[in-house]
Amino acid sequence: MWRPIVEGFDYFILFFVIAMQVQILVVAVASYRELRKSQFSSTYGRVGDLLTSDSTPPVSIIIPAYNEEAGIADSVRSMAMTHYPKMEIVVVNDGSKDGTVARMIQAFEMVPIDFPFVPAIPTSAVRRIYRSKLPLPVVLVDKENGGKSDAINAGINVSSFPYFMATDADMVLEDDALLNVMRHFVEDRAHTLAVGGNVRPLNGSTVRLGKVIEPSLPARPLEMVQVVEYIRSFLAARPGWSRLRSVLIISGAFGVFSKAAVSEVGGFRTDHLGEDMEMTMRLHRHYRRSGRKYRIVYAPDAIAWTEVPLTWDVLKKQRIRWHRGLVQVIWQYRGLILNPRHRFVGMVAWPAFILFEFIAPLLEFLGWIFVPMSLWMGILDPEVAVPLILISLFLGAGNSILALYLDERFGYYGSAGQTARLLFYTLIEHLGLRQRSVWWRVRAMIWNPRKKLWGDMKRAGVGNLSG
Amino acid sequence: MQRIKVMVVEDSRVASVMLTRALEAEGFTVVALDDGLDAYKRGLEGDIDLVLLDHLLPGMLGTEVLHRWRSEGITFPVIMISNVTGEEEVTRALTLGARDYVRKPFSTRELMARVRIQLDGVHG
Amino acid sequence: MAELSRIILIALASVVLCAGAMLFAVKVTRRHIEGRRFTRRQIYVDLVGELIVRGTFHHRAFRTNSADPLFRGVLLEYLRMLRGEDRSRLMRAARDMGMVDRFVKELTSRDRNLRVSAAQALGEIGDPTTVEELVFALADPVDEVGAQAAAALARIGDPRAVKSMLAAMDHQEQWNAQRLADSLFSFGKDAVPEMTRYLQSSGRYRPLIARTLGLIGDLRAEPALIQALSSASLELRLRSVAALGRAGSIDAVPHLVEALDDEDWRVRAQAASALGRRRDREGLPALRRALADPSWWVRHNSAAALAQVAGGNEALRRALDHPDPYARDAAASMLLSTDAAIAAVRSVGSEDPLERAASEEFIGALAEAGKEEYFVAAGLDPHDVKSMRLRHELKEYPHVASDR
Repeated sequence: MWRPIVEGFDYFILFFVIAMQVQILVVAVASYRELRKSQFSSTYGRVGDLLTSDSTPPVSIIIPAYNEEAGIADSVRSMAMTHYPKMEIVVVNDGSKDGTVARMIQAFEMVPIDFPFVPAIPTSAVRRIYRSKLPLPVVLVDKENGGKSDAINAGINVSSFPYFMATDADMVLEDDALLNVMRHFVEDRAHTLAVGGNVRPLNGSTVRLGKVIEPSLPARPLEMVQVVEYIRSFLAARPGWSRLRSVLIISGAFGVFSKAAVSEVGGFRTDHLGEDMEMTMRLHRHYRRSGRKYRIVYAPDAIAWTEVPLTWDVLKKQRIRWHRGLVQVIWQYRGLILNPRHRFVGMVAWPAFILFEFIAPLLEFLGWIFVPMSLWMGILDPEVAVPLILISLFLGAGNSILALYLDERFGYYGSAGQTARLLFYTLIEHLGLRQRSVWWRVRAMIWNPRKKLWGDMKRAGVGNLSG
Repeated sequence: MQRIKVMVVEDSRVASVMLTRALEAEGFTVVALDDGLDAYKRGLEGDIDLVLLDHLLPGMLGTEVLHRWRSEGITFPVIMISNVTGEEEVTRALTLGARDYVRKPFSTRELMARVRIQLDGVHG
Repeated sequence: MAELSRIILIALASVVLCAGAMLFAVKVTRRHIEGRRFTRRQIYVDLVGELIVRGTFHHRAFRTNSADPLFRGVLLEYLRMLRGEDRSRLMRAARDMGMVDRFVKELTSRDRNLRVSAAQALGEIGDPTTVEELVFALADPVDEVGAQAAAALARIGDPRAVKSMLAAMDHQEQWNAQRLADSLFSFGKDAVPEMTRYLQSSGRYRPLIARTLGLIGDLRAEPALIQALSSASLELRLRSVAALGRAGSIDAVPHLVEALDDEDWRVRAQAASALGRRRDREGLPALRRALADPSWWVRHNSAAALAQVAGGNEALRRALDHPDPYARDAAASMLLSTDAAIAAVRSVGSEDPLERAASEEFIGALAEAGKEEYFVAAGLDPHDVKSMRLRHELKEYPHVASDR
């Protein structure tokens, strides 16, 4: 009598996975439309004119630095070369144990200044503030250790412009990345709260003096698979959600926020693993509750590059941390689920997100155990089940290829060899890494929240790939 | 007489070609570069008489290149050419030791006159 | 069921594989084509540059390549880069090869991409005979076309277009209105009378226009801007205050002083900055009062403004004894960022006893206002700073004139 139950469960999982792929496909179609629109306005819109216009809003770039002695000077120099008419770079030394401060002082001739500022967000103590004597608008905030979020909050307090970009020292920005992000703020200055950018894996590309000169693919399968993943997330998923006005994550590594909005909701949370997603959700909730019109959007033309994990071990830690952050956020914002007040976000995007990012890995994990076993025990008819499994795999591959089509506009990886490799990894991604990352996600859910497991994990790259 | 050597640092190809051709027509030898850091290094070699420098450059920003030259004690005249024309930028460049600041779009004739004035100051 | 799923599977698999193969083809071809286009463009760039320098604008290259969009693109780039005689000669050559007519025709094309790029190109060319068509294009359903047409009209600079642009603005979203305002700014003084009239109407984007008028800085707009200070719209008041700070005459000062009592702190803060910009002593008493404003920004801006006005440093100096602690702090913070603080540190070891006493008194006063740490960081002995503070509190510097 348990056989039909198991059989039913197997089919449920199979169809669930197929439904998930179909959902991804639908969002990808929305992405296609959004990308076309954005390409139109970035080709013909006067992005270049923003560079010389008087009405371009100034931006503060906030770089939290913890033990970044080795690379901090180069990253600041590279950020300073971003094409933007008015910006300042605020480096926040988060109580580093190495010579980050000394390195900054030496490289940019920093001098201490007395700087009156309103600490709009409480942070751990700021020791001293420095400004560069060089013709570069660089500010250094030296503060006690308090974590990445705390450092960003301190940067927000000290920054002097109405918009800020939170980023990591190892991010490499394209020249017009900031212009392409800020275009969205200029389009609707009164209502835009945050704009996220497109993050791409740097591995394999040629970098010179903090600029990518020749985008290229990495050598190892581990990195290749991540390239495909990033393309799928940033080109096939996010533009679509943006079109549906449901951007749920603005990446903390490359996102511009309105300072007023972030200060209003109290800054980034310091006790969180997914602080960037948490911030985005908090903005959604806060503005919906107070009944104000707002916009949170994604800018696919704004490109930044970052190094992605090189080893399975680091990748595993990263993914587990992401997933735990996601679980935290889901728990915190469970009140939004099917809440008609939150419109599309509450009724569709957020439930779909939870269903396909949180529940799906669990079901898929069970599926990878139950379905093969049922097949082996003869509960499932292989004539039906095997094609269904293959359909879901092919749909997944099809979605990835669609993402590559959407990515084609940028003209990266154009040579025959690179394209072939990209396609190859797209097809085999579902045989191996996918299962592994499903397992990590399940693993991630087993943890004792009282034990501060994540304390020593190195903060890497982007906030989260999901959504 | 040795020919006067002018370095053009400009990453827009159209502007670079225009400047190079115009300078060559005046009888100067032209070294055209499109990268701030390369330009900085080339400037240290000591055989350049004048530089036309763009501000937004890959490698290193124009103003920083200028600042570094000046702190190395290199004194050849530098004329900045840029489409960033904010008061702040222009003042900064001039304070750092640029002899002149020319806004894009530029007139080649006017620019050649400015170049000649600077060179008269050096060789005259 | 089994049959059906197998059919779906085969169909899907072939679709996915075909898509993969197509993607491969698309990417590789694109690379090839782009490479060739790049080379051809380089050739055009060199050729046109050469022709301009040689002054041979009637070279047959202009006719033989006139149909190639790539060539037209390069010409536009040169037009964008140049001004003066070369530009007008190049423009004449472009017109002779029929470029203007072609773009005017494209302005009414059905393809929105073509319309935008045509408007953009006409802006680059800036031919006065195209004003009528461009005014017509302001009402294009695609915002981008309208904005480009506005920019083109600004380039040409025919003031008759201003009225149409202001009318077109009211139907636009904020962002495009902003772009139209940027274009209006490029008209400069010619656009002022029409814009002043708009400011007195009930137009939707009056704040934008107030701001633009401030940027242009023409006194003819001043009465209208002063009038706008009493508007009910917060944004209009803000923009007008800022505009008057930038471009007002002496008549504007009393009105700006009045704006220091506005109900909204943003207007007050802006008014303080504006008075600082005007550098008029008439604003001093009001600014000193504003040092005790409940809003931090107003205090900060007032202190900054005082530092700009002649005799303001003295006012700041006196504000160190202000009964309101906020005012004291604002004044002290601002004084630290002026040269006076550096000068004081430097003259602590001065030979001249008067100068030394003056600087010690100054440092003591700032230390009392809670800025002790600054001077310690600047290299003074903490004990010295403390004793200066003490002596300031005990008023032990009788020979220092109170209004240094």
